Amino acid sequence: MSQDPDLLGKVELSLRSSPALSTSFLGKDHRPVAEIIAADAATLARLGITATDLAKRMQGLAAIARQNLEVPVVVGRIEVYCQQWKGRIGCPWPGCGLFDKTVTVARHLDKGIAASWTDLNMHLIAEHGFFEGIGSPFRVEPQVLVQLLA
Amino acid sequence: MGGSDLDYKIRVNQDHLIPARSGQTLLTALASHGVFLPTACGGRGACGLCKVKVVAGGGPLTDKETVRLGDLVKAGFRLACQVRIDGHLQIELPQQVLQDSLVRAVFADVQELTADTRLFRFELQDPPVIDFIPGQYVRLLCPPYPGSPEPVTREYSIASDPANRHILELVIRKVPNGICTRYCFDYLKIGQQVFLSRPVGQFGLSDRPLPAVFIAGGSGLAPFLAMLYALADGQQYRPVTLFFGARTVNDLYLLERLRGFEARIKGFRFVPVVAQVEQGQDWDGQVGLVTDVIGRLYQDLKGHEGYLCGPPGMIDAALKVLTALGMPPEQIYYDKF
Ligand SMILES: Cc1cc2nc3c(=O)[nH]c(=O)nc-3n(C[C@H](O)[C@H](O)[C@H](O)COP(=O)(O)OP(=O)(O)OC[C@H]3O[C@@H](n4cnc5c(N)ncnc54)[C@H](O)[C@@H]3O)c2cc1C
Ligand code: FES
Ligand SMILES: [Zn+2]
Repeated sequence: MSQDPDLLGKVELSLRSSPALSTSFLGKDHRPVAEIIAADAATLARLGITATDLAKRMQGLAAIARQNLEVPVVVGRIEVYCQQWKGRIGCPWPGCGLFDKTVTVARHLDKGIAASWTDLNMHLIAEHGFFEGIGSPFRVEPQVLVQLLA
Repeated sequence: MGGSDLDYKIRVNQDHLIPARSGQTLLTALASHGVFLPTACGGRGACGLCKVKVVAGGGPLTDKETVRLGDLVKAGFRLACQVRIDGHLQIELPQQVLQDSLVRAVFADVQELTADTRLFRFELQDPPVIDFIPGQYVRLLCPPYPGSPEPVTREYSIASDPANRHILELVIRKVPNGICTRYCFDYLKIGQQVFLSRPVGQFGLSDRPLPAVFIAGGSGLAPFLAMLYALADGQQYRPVTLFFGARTVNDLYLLERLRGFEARIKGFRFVPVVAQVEQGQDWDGQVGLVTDVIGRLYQDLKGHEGYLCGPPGMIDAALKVLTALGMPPEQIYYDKF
């Protein structure tokens, strides 16, 4: 996934200039957005998967969970369900549009690993390789996702 | 222009002055003083609804504004959520937006409905009474608190009886890490003052008295409560069936109140539906997805209207079921966001 440094600079500026956005997307992580993305990309490379492929697996499970409304369903060895609220939320990158306020919760029945992620998380990972800053309430850990979904 | 954090002013339509804090967005500065611009993206520059005409001031345009506003930029439009206050500003707003002004209320009571859903009751102070059309919602101003350094506004459908003009009740379902719901559940204390917008929104009963099917999921029951009060009050007559879907019996709420409407509203039928009956739960009602149960009870909905409120997945599924049962799309109502 190629990252345009100019665009990343603008996203950084927009996130850092808003206390609400920086709390939500960066938490207490003082690294530049480009560095956060690069560190997580390196983790994924070590684990042998791309952000795009990981996001596809998340999206596949989320789509099944959404169809089943909020009722848990078992897919392979993963139990998954979603929770949804009315309203939509925007991506911090310009021009990406709006995402449902949805949380998908997945639990591996054998491995005892669980994770939850939002529709916006899936977009951020698929399109921007961004798992959010450490300490952000919505950060998803790439290695946990890989252990759960791989 | 310089000065302390608080001495900037936003001049609205020449005659209205609003104080603002340096670094705040124009959107939050306005909302903190009762001017609620529409938003559908949580102030993230993605929906374009918060656009305002900026006549003077406003700082540099952001990429999001260029993308969202296109040619409107040339006419002076900006996205209020992207404009950071760093000096005095002059803006123009439609009169309607100014009328959509601040309501001051006191958080009077709360009722636990399910593990993650509560009914919040607010008593109005200024103005002391308010009128709304059942189906409308208010924007609640969530002030800065340890979970969010900036104020935000969020929409909540009104669940109370429109005849009870000094009260607003909201059914709020907690969102894990959600800014406003966390504030309401964990920080807001009884007796505390809150600020809301006046009721807004287009969702409501049509004036064609066709039989109707209401489909609610989760906190989506709220606007139907207000509609049922109005029907019970004789404001309209029409046969109504309310389907209220939840995951388990424990996720249903206000069942007694809803069953009570069967005695108060001629032609009203209440169908609670649970997707799963857990061991030991006593349930003799419908089981399945709420959208499947509609197909069990109806073969043809051509002559009916459909009203939907709930999670987006439920709305998608309900639209498919209702149209498959012959309901014309123009007879189906829901809030589109
Ligand atoms: C017309 C209308 C009526 C409504 N009526 C009701 C009602 O009656 N009752 C009710 O309970 N709700 C209602 N809502 C929903 C309500 O307005 C709020 O959207 C909801 O309460 C969540 O607000 P919040 O601030 O707690 O969560 P937010 O902070 O807005 O977060 C919500 C979701 O956004 C996503 N998100 C936020 N930040 C991030 C991030 N950094 N990374 C990834 N994902 C993120 C997640 O999916 C999260 O779950 C209504 C909405 C509309 C539009
Ligand atoms: S609130 Fe959505 S663009 Fe400003
Ligand atoms: Zn994006």
